[in-house]
Amino acid sequence: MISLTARYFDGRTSASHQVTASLHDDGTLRLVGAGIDRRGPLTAVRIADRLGNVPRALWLPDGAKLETPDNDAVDAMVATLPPGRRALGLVHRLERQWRFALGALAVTAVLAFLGVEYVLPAAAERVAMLAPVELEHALGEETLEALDGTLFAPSELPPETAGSVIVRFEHLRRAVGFDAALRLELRSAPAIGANAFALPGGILVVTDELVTLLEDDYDALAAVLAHEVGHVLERHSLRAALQSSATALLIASVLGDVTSLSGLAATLPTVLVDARYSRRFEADADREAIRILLRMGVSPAALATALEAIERSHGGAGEVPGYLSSHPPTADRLERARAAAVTGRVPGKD
Amino acid sequence: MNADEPTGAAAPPNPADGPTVATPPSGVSVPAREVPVVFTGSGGEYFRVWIVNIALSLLTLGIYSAWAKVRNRRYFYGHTTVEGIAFDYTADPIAILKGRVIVVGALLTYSLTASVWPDVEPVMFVLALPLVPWVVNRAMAFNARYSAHRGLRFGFDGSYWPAFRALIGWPALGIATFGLLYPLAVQRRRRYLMGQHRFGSSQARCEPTVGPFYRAYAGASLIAVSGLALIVVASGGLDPFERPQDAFACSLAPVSSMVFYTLAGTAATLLTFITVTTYLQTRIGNHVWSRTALDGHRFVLAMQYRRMLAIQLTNALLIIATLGLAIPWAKVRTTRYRVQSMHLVVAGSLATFTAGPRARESALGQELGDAIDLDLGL
Ligand SMILES: [Zn+2]
Repeated sequence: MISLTARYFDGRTSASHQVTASLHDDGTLRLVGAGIDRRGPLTAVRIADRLGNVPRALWLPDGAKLETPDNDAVDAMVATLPPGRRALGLVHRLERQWRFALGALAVTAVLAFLGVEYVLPAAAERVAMLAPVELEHALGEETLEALDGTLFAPSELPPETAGSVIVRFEHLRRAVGFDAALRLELRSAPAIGANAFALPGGILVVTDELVTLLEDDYDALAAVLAHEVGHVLERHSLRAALQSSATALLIASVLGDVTSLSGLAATLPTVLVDARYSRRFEADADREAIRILLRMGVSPAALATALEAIERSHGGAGEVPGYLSSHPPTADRLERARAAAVTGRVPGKD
Repeated sequence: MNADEPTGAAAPPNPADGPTVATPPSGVSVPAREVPVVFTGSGGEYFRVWIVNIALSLLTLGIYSAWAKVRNRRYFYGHTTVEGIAFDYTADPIAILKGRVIVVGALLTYSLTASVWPDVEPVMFVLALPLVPWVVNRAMAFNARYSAHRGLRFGFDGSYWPAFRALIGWPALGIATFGLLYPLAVQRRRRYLMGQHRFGSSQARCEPTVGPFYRAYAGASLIAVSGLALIVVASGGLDPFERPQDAFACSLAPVSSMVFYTLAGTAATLLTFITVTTYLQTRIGNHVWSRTALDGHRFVLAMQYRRMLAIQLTNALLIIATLGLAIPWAKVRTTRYRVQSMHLVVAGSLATFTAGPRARESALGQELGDAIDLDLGL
């Protein structure tokens, strides 16, 4: 016979009554307390699954309720029931022990890693490739407008310099054979320095500072443009947008409520994931640039020339830790471009 | 704590509540006593529950998440006690799962339609707006019906037009007056959402005054303005809402300054958000609960802003530093402080509540219930 003390609520009023509940060998549960003497089969009682040390609730068929902190005695009662009635006891056994909790942590970490590393990027790529480039136009225009209001100023290049950049761009466009709208914009950007951007919808931006830096090296300029065209062809801006929001959503929904303040703080590590995605896109764009340069009959070493010049112009200032960086280490990028110049082949994926 | 309270000692303010409650002789006042609300959960215990349920949810591709939801909520309800008696959450995970499928389906349909035919979106929005009061009423009723204490269920008696006024009419007026009436709109919403609750057959009375809402929003605006200045400085003078990296421009070389601006800007945004939200939650929460009564028993909620802010900020730091692993401890800490800041002023005994009417079951409403997940923190 198993017995325990519990609070008894009759389900009609909120009055609490102390009772002793005992399970007899024939499966009858008997409740005895001041003015209370009830009995019935335990199989008719709905017993809440155990959850840590939360007081256990037992609901009788007529809506009366027992509440007891004596979880172990209730477990002993449940153990006398047929196996089908004990389903979720398993979850409690997992929750009770630290080694299972650590196992669950390992499972979560592995699944989260697989999802973020493989599943999400593959899904985003598929969706992005389905969407026509035109879909991104509005987003691209908005981005350019935002940058024009903050970091960009109108180009101050002399017309003939700008003209030769545009000629180079047209040459490249023909080589790519990409008929979607590619558009070149020149901007002065003293706060950013020598750099080039690919915005959604095929808008390429080259800063005056970069054109000046590369001076008459039209091959290096072609390499810069080829890298940005690579971003456009591979739809990196749309994929980055998709992946970034999906990661945030995934982390928030896995870790619990998105609404709470704590849940919000948990989405901050997405910065790391976004940086990792970005580094991968940059390596892909470099690869695509090398492919385009080889097709144009330009040595991929031109990409290395451009990257080296940019790094020198930035003076190596503002170095960020690798895990936060949006681009792979420049040394790696130079090495790959120069190796491709020697072999004449597009480097494989890492 | 005593298990057998004397019954029939308290008079409900409304004698029409039922014949089962004995009314004391007139003129005899019942001495009021303070009864604390106690939270007994622990971070270590909850961590194990939390991580096991996350792993199971992932392994079942999200299906188990409905069961996880119930277990998580049961953990916090079950560790919240009044006079040693716990709260209980008894919702059926299957109903929650159905609700989630319906809501996810509706949202997917909405966003897919909106992206294919952008012109249709405002039309859909206007068409969906009248559904809001109905959905909120259903969700509140679902959560209340499956919340229990002392063997009695809670309830939420919403009706369409009062909900429409509180949830759509007043906020619309708040927007139309450029925020001037917004605190009043929040007061109406909180009053409606709290006041329609009942415990058993006892209707909650929630009568918050408007002044504290205006004071809370005035204070929050001051904090928000200084926070905004901080965000602009931390973002390197860029418009915090138009930071270029949010636009996903791919560059040739790293724009190194931006990484720091993004990080500093995000940190400043988070800091401001936590500070402002905590301010509103403590000020308004304290007021709403302290103006709520149940059958002559009053609630008092006395959270201190500084204390709560310290808890929330250290929580955020811990969560970021542990990549989210500290969430269970953070939730337990916050809940413990919030729950222990509350007490009841009991007039007589808590043993005299009676069961409410049998719940009218509405299949669809039930299914929609938890997926929308509106929490009053009861
Ligand atoms: Zn790039």
